[in-house]
Parts: sequence; C-alpha cells; structure tokens
Amino acid sequence: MKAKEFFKSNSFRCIIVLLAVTLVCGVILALCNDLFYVSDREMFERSIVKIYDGDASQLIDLIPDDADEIKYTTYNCEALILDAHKSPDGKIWLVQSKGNKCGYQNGSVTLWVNMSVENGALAAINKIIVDSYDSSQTLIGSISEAYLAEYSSEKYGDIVTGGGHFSNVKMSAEDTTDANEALAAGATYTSKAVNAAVNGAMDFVREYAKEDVE
Amino acid sequence: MKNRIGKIALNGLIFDNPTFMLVLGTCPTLAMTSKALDAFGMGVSVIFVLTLSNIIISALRKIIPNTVRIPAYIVIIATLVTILKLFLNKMIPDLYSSMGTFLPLIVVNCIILGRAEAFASKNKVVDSMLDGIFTGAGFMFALVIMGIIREFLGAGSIFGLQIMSFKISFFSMPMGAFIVYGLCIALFVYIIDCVQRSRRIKKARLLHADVLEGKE
Repeated sequence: MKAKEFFKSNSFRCIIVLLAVTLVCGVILALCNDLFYVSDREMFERSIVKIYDGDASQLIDLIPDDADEIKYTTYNCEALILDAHKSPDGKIWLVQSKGNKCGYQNGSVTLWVNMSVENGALAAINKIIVDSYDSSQTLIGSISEAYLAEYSSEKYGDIVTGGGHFSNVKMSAEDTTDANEALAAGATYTSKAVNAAVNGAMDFVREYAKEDVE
Repeated sequence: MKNRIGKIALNGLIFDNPTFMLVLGTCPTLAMTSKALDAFGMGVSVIFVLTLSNIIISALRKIIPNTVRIPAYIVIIATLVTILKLFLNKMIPDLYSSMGTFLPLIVVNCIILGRAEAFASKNKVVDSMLDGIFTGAGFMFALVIMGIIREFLGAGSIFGLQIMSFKISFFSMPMGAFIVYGLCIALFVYIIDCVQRSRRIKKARLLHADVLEGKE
C-alpha cells in the first residue's frame, strides 16, 4: 500500500477518529478535573466537621508532614497515627488513627477520635467516627453510631482514664442486631481493627498530652 | 411525533424496562438498593450518563467508523462517568462515598453500552436523548422500588425516615436483594402480562363485533 492510499483508507480514518475522540475527551476531563478539584484541606475539613463542632481553621496541627511514622501496638494489633490536631486551649484532641492490617483479610479501618484532655491526661473519649476502610471489611456497615458511642460510655470510663486498652466492646441491650452481636463479642477482625485504632489514638494522647504539660 | 415519543417512553419505562424486563445492570441493582436514597442516587447517575452518551453517540454516528465504534463509545462513556465522579466528589461527597466502586463501574454497565449500540447509533439525536431519559428513568424506577422495599423491611425506614422499630436484617443483605429482585420481576411481568392479555381480549371482541356486523 502506497502512502497516498493509506491516507485515503478506512484504517487511517479509524485512527484519526479514535485519536480525535480521545483528545477531546482528555481536554474535557482536564478542565473538569481543574473545576472539581478537592484539596487536601477541603478533605480534612469535611472529615473534621463530623467530629468537631468548633472552628476547624483554629485547630493546631500536631504532626508535621515530614514526621516519622507513629505507631502503637496493643493485643498484637498495630495502630498508625495518620493525623492529629488539638483545639487552641489544648482541651480537645482529634486523632486520625488507622487499625492497620488486623481487620478482615489483613484489611484496615481508619477512625477519627475526639478526646478530652485535662491537666495533661486523657479524660474522656467524646466521639468516634469511621473515616475510611478497605473494601474487605464486610461487617463495617454494621458498625453503627450506637456501637461507636459505647467507647465513650461511662462503663468504660476506667479504661480511658486508667491507662487501659479496649479488647472488646459490649453493646447496650437496645442495639443488638445479629451483626452487632457478632461485633460485640469482639470475634470479628473488623472490630479488632476498630479497637486497635481507638487504643492507638488513646496512647498517642497519653504520650503527647503529658509532654505538652511538661 | 407524539406517538413516537410515547412509544419510546413506554418501551424505556415498561416494555423494555432494563431491570425488570431485560435483566440488565444486575450488579448495581443488587448492591445499591439496600437504601432507597442510594438507589435514587444511582438511578440519577445512570440517567445523566445514559442521556449524554446517547446524545453524543447519536450525533457522531456518521463520523465514527463501524470498526472502531465500540472503543469510541467506551471512551465517551468513561469520560462522562469520570466527569460525574469528579462532580459528586466535589458537590455531594456523602453520595459519592456511599456509591463506592459502583460509580466507576457505570462505565461497564451493559444498559449504557447496550442502548448506545442498539438505539443511539441508529437513530436521530432527539430520539436518542428521549431513549436515554426514559430508559434511565425505567432503571431508576426499578431501583427505587426495590430500595423502598428493602429499606422498609431491612431497616424499618424509607428514605432514611424511621417508620417502625421492627426490622428483618436479612433484607439488607445480598440474599435479601436476590429474593426481592426475583419477586419484583415476577410481579412486574405478571402485571404487564395481565394488561396485555386484557388488551388482546378487548381487541378480539371488537374484531368479532365488526365481523358480526359485516355478516348482518
């Protein structure tokens, strides 16, 4: 086939049409990506608004971007501290903690934990929300707000203030679906990952809040 | 014109309903119907992608060579889905996170490629747009019906509004999705069958009356 014939052929037309379609789509996508870009700060504020009532812009960042990895291990489960902030008065600490590789199929669960600090010591867990998780965590949908609220309940107050760790969390009688009972028994890997993340967040506050006072 | 629009609408919504009659797009149907609101979100997303892809593919039907039509359609559909994904992540992050992996999977939803191949590549832009809207609406209608049933039985609520404390968790799980899907298909087909049968009987009676009048 001569060059002139090739340029008149159907094959050449196919290549040109596909290239043109791809090029136009690429340009449109580039424009849309620019238009709908979600910055890291916006992502952070979206997460934080669910767990912190105050002004997110006033929060003090505790972990610089170039900081070494902070991890804690409890009951053979590892927790990575991904992000941490405190309120300007230092009484509220917000910690993003990841129960790492101890969920179902070595999966992970990341939580945001809101905690109160008094005189350099952990005083209470105020609120916990699930931030993200691996798709392998089949029971994560059953982790209700009621289940997470158990960590802040009075019956576990001694664990929080006494330097202890959660190994399993029993549900209140009014929220006991089959899935929640499985979680309550502490028998699922997903719930172990949640426990590890909460324990890691508590250990972080215990260590750094004390240093803050000193 | 009115007759043509009516035919396209009836086909998309009822006689060629992608979910209940053609049993297409089964993955999102089963996965996204545990809550009615998620089902509605998925339905609206599919209407958006299906309508725009039908319009673009119909407009380009004489330009795109037959041999490369499928890759060209896939590039167009993938672009639309990516735009939708970026938009939802920016504007409606809750819906974006609840749709999870099923949002990018709209690219390979057989309803969209099916309508592009069967309708948009052979018809005018306006007809293709209407086909996209009504087929998407048929899909959304099916998803919302299933979502309402599953949410009501599985969580005791409808569109997040708690109605009763009694709930059967089974219906929120995949097994419940299959059971509800099967029952919905059976009921939908039965109703359409009844309507079509009564129409046929009515037509036959009229024909019979005409024949008798002719004899007299």
